[in-house]
Amino acid sequence: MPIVKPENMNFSDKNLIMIVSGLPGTGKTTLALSAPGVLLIDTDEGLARVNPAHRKDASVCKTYEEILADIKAAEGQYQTIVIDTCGALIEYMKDWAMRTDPKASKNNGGFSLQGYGVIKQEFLRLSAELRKKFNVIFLFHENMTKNGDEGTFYELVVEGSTRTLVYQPADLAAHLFIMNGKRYLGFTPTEQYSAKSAYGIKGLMEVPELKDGEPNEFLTKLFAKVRENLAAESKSLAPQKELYNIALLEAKRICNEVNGPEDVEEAAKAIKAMTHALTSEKESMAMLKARVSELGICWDKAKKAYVYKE
Amino acid sequence: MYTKSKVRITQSLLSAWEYSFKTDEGYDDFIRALNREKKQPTKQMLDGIRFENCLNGVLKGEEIPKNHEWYPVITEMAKELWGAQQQVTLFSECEVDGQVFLLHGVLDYLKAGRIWDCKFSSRYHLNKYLNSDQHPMYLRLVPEARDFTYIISDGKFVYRERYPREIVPPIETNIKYFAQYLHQHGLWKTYCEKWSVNNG
Repeated sequence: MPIVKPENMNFSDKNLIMIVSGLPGTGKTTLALSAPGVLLIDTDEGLARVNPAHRKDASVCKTYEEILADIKAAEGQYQTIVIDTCGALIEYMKDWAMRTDPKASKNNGGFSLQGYGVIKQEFLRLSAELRKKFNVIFLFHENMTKNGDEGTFYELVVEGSTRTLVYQPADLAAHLFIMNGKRYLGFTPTEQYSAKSAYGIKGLMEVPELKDGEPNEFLTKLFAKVRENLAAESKSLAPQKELYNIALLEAKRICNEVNGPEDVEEAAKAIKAMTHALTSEKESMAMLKARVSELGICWDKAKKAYVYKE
Repeated sequence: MYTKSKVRITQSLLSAWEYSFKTDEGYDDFIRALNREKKQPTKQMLDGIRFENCLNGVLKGEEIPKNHEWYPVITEMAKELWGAQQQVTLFSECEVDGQVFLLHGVLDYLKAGRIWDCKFSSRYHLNKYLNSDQHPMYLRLVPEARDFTYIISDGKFVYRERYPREIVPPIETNIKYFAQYLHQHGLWKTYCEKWSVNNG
């Protein structure tokens, strides 16, 4: 594999995984269809509620195996897979696990605890596999629950123990809601909803209302912005990373030359005098501290000097 | 109103204070923390220590048997944390309403402008650490860090909660409320006695 320098890294083909969650009727499916080159996996009959002008290709399946087959067939033809909804996908996975893995069923026919382990693993596998070929948008319905004294909490509609896991592969997660007649995506987690901010995408973002004849491209633009931010971040970090690597190598050398209490202060001075970047100074001092401790050296307050521990 | 000497403050003291509003036993636990009384480790804490020791061992080059119950999660975490400095002790001063506080924290892992804290939680739920004082405090201790990640395991899966600096509120706000609370409840003197920088 060729080694790529940060300044030459290209994120234009980086695939993203995003979660969009919201109450029914907030426009999740229409928003998801604004991503580039969409194939909608319609497990929830969401497409029927979309304005025909904005509809895209869709796959309507009856089993998890059919979904996998349609995704396989979509390779090279589509850029984004939208799972509408992911809560329903998990239900398909449960059915699949019960049919294919004996661990997933209880004797009384119910779904077993080990079965949840099976679908969690499968969800992670599927996410990783999808990301190799597509952007992925997981849509979730939400319902409102009471959150102690803090009021309402918008919770994903998905089987309880998988709720936490589904966020893990996602780069971004946003809560879609309507306030004063306007639609917003919230990317920063709050007391009211879960979310995931990254690549400079944070806080609230207004989703403009689609007027007749207007192209539906909100997420296409957002994904382009993410890639732009990634490239800019990588470019600005590149010189710092280079200095950081040099500083750590130098600190390692200095620490290795500490062989007794008499060397410690000089080493600390040398580390402080180095050119530092990112967290190299704090890491170098921690490295020195570890070396000092390894040699059985400590600071003697009375003597105001480093000495061997007695 | 305030003391001229510096007082030490840690995220665990702030957390104990915030927890005191949430449960019945919380207040007693906070008073114990304020008095710097050692807490008997719970089974949950001991499990966490065992997990962290296992992870740190692997990061130092020890091998973990493939049949070990934590093998998949420990190897996944170790891959991400490889090369990080471990247990980085830091201090930093901050002034709130004229009082100088000495912030004190021990970072689990620090690498290339990023901070990680390892958690072992059998019942992890999403955004569990949203209101924790740990990420605002540690990002204040390392101004050059760009994010803080809680890397969590329940022994079967690895979860991450990442807080980029730009979405994290300043720790000074909570320190201000904490100090006000201590004054209002007659606890400021105890705090100064137990947490003075000259008091270890």
